Amino acid sequence: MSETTALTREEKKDISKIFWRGMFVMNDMTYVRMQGPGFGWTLMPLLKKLHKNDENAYYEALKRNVMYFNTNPAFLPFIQGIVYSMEKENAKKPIENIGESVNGLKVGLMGPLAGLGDSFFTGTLRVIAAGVGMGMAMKGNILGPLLFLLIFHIPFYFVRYYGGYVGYKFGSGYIQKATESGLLKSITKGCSILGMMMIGAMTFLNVPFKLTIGGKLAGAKFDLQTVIDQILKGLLPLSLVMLLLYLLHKGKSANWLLIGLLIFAVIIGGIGFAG
Amino acid sequence: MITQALLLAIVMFITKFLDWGWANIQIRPIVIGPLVGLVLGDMTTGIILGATLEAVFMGTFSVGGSVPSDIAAASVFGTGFGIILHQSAAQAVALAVPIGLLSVLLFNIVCLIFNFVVAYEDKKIEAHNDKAFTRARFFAMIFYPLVYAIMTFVVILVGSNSISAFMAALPDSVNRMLTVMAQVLPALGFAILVKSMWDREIFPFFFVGFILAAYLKMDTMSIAVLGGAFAVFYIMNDFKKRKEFDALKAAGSAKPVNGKNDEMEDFLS
Repeated sequence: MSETTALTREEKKDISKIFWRGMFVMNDMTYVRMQGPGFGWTLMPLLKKLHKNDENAYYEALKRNVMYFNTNPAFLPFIQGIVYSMEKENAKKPIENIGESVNGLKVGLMGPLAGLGDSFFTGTLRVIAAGVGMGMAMKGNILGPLLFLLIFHIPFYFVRYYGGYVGYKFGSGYIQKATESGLLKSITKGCSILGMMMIGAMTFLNVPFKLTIGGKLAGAKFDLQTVIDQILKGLLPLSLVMLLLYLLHKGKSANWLLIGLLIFAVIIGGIGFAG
Repeated sequence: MITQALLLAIVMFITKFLDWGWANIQIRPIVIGPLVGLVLGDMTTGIILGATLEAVFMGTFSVGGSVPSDIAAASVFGTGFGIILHQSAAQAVALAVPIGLLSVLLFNIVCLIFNFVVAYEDKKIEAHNDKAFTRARFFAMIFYPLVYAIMTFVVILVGSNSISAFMAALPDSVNRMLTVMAQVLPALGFAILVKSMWDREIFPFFFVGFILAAYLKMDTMSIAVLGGAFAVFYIMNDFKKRKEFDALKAAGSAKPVNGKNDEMEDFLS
């Protein structure tokens, strides 16, 4: 990475410390403070180093860094890199209202980055990885789970590792530039094309809903599922997903639909139309 | 049964540890299934049950810290009971879904206890004792997986026989209902996913993927590669257009509506 070349050896060590200690960020998750304590704990040795001779200043810095915080773990070191560079400035020459600046920055960045992380990593990349993995795993192939792990986690840890360097070196302006230039928007949208195709494919492959009724019509035996397949293969799963999507757009909650599906299964299975 | 309960408790511990304790891995049914299969000596069934549960829980993911269903518990118990009690995939799903919903209770209790841990940590920071802060965090790191592991051990030990008897006594019609349930539940997950990334311009690609799978019989890997090509093409084009538009705007000549018309004229001439 060209971003890292200008950093001194010691700075590099600090940033990789942020990455490794950040692995423990979720240890004491609560709904009140979320990753806050983990955020502060990750920076702890760095803050201690900055305030070597001033215990009070160190604990003040620690205290302002364990406040409420929550974002996607992939972008955690990025924000911590920025905060570390701010704390470093502060240690050299005290910044006025450093507490407000640090927490303002954290709160300002965590929302958009959580959104980006949830839509890109959790929403899209996980779906792609699971789609590829499930295709093989359904046949009992161990490559399926392995591919899932690799496809998701290589980009995840890449962003997580280098995010710290980028944040430390370029500060918050970097993400702003990426947002303003529209690059992030293009990437998110492009990746959702891939995600959308995977969900479409999985609708056919992983919703194996079939009718099992048939009968005699004008003396000839017929099977309803065969007739449906002649119209469009996978018509039933497709219509089911479309119907559920429509209801979600109408504002029905997922739990409401889950109960609806269970009732549907009880009725259809009970009268022997499927199953 | 004690060995199996112990082994599954260990899998649960590892699962929860890798989720929150360290590394924050996406520990999903597709990964947990093989782990359960490995310790119970039936890897292939574990992989298949894991993939089946992955489809069911596809749309279940935590957003911003709230957890709709405990996927890890659902996968360990669903796959575990599925293998120990020789259940079908549909029955494994039928067991996993309610267990996942119930386990959220335990999850919320642990989160509640963590509030006291965090309060203790605050007090220790106030008292200038960062070593105790670290100790409290590592206590939480072990506590969360451990509670789940103990729960797993007890449930497998106590529950296996009654669940086995219960599942065996189910009439045929109920088994049919469970099968239909396992078949249709993934549909909800996929609908939730489409909604979560809803974009009118992107939505048509859903049908592209569907047809590639249904009629061209392509597997998901090849569809992913094809979709990847589309995605790269789109990203490059879209970003180039944005840059050109910004350049025009900087030159002071771009008005969004006119810009479109110009392009159209270029196209027509």
